Amino acid sequence: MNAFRQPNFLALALRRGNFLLGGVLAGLVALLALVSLAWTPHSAYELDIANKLNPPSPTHWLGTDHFGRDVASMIMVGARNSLLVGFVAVGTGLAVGVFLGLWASARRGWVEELIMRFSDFAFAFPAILSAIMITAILGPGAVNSILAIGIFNVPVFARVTRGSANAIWAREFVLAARAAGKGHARITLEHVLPNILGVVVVQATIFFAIAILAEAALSYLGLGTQPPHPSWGRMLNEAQTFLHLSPHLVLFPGLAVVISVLGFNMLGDGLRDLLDPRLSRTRLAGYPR
Amino acid sequence: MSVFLAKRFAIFVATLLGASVVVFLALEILPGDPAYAILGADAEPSAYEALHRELGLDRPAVDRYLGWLGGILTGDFGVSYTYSVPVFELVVERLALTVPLAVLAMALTVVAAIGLGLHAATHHNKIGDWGVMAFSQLGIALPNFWFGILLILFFSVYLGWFSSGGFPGWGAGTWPALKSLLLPAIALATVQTAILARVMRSSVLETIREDYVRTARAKGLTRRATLWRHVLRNALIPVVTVMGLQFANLLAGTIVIENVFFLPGLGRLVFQAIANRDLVVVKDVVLILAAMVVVVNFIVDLAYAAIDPRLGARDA
Amino acid sequence: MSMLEVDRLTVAFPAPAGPERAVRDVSFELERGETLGIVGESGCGKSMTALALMGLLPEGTDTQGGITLNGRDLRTLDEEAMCRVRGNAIAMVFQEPMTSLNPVRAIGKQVVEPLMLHLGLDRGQAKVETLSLLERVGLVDPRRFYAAYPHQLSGGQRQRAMIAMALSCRPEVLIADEPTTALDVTVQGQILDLIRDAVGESRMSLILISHDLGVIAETVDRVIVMYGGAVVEQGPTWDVFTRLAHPYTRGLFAAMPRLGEGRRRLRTIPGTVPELADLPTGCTFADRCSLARETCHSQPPDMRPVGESHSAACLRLDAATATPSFGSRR
Repeated sequence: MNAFRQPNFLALALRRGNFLLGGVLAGLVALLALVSLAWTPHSAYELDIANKLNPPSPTHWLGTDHFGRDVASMIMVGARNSLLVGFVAVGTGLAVGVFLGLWASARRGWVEELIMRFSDFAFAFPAILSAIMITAILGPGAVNSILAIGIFNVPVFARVTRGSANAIWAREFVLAARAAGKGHARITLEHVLPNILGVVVVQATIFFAIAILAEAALSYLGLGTQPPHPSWGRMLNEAQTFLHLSPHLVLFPGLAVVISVLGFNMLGDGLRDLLDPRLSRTRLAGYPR
Repeated sequence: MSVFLAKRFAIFVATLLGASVVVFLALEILPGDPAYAILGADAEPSAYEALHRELGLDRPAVDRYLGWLGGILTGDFGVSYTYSVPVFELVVERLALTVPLAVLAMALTVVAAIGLGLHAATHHNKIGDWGVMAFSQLGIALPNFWFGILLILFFSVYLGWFSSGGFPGWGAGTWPALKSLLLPAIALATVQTAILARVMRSSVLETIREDYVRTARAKGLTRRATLWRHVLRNALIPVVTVMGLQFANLLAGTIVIENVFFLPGLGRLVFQAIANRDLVVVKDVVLILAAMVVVVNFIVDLAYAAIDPRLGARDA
Repeated sequence: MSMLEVDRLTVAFPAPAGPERAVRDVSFELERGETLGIVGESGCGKSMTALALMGLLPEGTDTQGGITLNGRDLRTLDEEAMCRVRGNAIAMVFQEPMTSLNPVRAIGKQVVEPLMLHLGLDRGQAKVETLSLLERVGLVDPRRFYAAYPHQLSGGQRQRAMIAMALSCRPEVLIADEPTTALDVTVQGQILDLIRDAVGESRMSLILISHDLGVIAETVDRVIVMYGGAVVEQGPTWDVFTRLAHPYTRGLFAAMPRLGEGRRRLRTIPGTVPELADLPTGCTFADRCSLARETCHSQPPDMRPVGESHSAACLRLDAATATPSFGSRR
């Protein structure tokens, strides 16, 4: 008796709330990163051993670390780092993955089979594993961790793109375009891409969040951003050593990760619901971290 | 064996082979000369020569690949450069920690996620549902290594119930060994549960709307009996898919978590091997981890056939 | 007192624009062994009436009125007691045999359930009983069907399994909601025969819900015509179908294709079914009725006798019966 199922207004309002709250949280992180370019309360690099491991105070809002660096400033600069990694990694995954997905969908046949089989076993190498391989060869570093996360994103985007593009290729207006003599490339650019843009943007937002998490984990392991550049993962690694002395040090960088990931996740969820409620069914299938 | 299973088995073998090629290319061919990669550019010529021969780098690449693969199949993983012991021994010792940790975490995840998902779905749009959804939203955003540190802070530093890391070994008894794996497993499981509970919830909500659920109720089954006998098994089908996808993340998670809790598992081994530039160990362990993911995905396919008779071997 | 009495049954769903009353003041009685048909367009409330009898309306539905089975008011029963009625005293066959069976359980396991639940049989007894039931509904080689999964069966075979399930506890009332609509034409007749035979053999009563007047005419003793959630005409099948007292009943008949009438256009009823949230104050059919007068739009019609135990809700009954034909050509 589907005709009698009620649209749940509470859920609808909540979706919009998701979008707004997600936007506010993600915006806050972006703002911190932008401001850090021009101003931070203290230097994020300058050592001040005399004032090491201070608890939060009016001068050092979030306290100082074991070198006396200002934690608040480091978190602001770390935001810059996390967002940069997110942008580049998702950008790489997006550019290569969407291209492969569109190609697979347009050509079908062996091209599609090859790309999909490739993405099949790429799933066997999560970001951390490919990062381990890459750092084993090239050595640890921010660029290498971005590369690792980006490579991991390629098959995911290829899959999502191909799935939605195939649905578009089956539609009547594409048939009409083909009947009018348009080629594969033109149909892809004029009809397929504009129609799947929503899905891709939503995926990009959610994978942005995943990239931030992956970067934090790699930096925590020492495979990502290298000192002296502050990154949230590294800060957590160093803070763990002083867990007994200064537990507040593990709190703030972790919260920074949670807030930004929560922000981008909710932004993606809200965006998807606003763009097309029908998408909600497919979203979780592609939710690996 | 049914066509479905035969096809899945073929894909399983092909994926394993593909993964081994990727690992070999990445760690043997890409670095140029692994002997240099291990020793560094300023290595002494005599040491370089020795290692070069020891690694068999004078043979062509295809030979080396087949030799490596053949060795792995017969249990000969090569010799670790830093530890000077067969990699096989190292790996087996470390697997005794990593596998129980992953299994414990997965078990916790499955039990918690199915319970929470069922609870949320059966209390749709009530407080319990909102609670599970809020937990899930938060849990997905939680870095598992940070949550691990918080667990140490609370249960070890403040309460003193657990040690803050390390592993006594299975020789110290099952309970002490399990106890040292408990916090790491919880750290791993919490994040995975957040994702899986959400999948379970939406799957149950969708299944509850099916016609056959109405049929079951029309037969006189209570809500509870309908849930157990008719909803659960159908609702598990998408949940099993996501579980398979999650296992890769769970293994990746163990690498990080083993470092948080200082557990001598596979993850810590590969991590130390990178630090020591021990490419022989890195190559083997990465392949083993990738193979574990592939094997679990194959098991998931088998589970499908068991749950869903439409795919199963009983089909004529 | 009749075996089943439905008294001013009203079903309303909460909706943003105010409650949608899908069933309004529906009353009827059913004797033991009697067959009753409910006919009307989709959305007229016939399936909702059936689900209300089963107590299986979605949560949050507001149900008013009385449903009395053998003197017991089902509306006052708690969930546990209602579970003992469902599948036992009242059983139901649904429209979609494709989706109404659990795809991951063998047919036998699904037929066994009500037997063990209501008759207290153990697994072995229930299996013996199920095998004979499957044979009775025409699934010869019942052992094969017992172990088979729904996807291995044809639509007709699945509906037979559904019927076996419904008949298993020898219900007093069998509700069949469009049992043949989703099936191939060739199978439809076999399934109807099966239902008719099953009802004829026992002292079971039948409520057959259909939009197909032909199916209704050849199966049931009495018929109820529903429109917009309310009963517009009811009476013995023969009387209703020969007299066609209500303009809507006439419309339904005119819209039915018949053999031997050549290739002429079918008559249709102009307009569409009214919005349940925004029902007109007068007769719900007035907007689509060619006989409607001003009073029809303002005054709700009540049931008026047309013949012996035959009544219709129309203010223009005299005009309706006098006019030889109804409807418009498209």
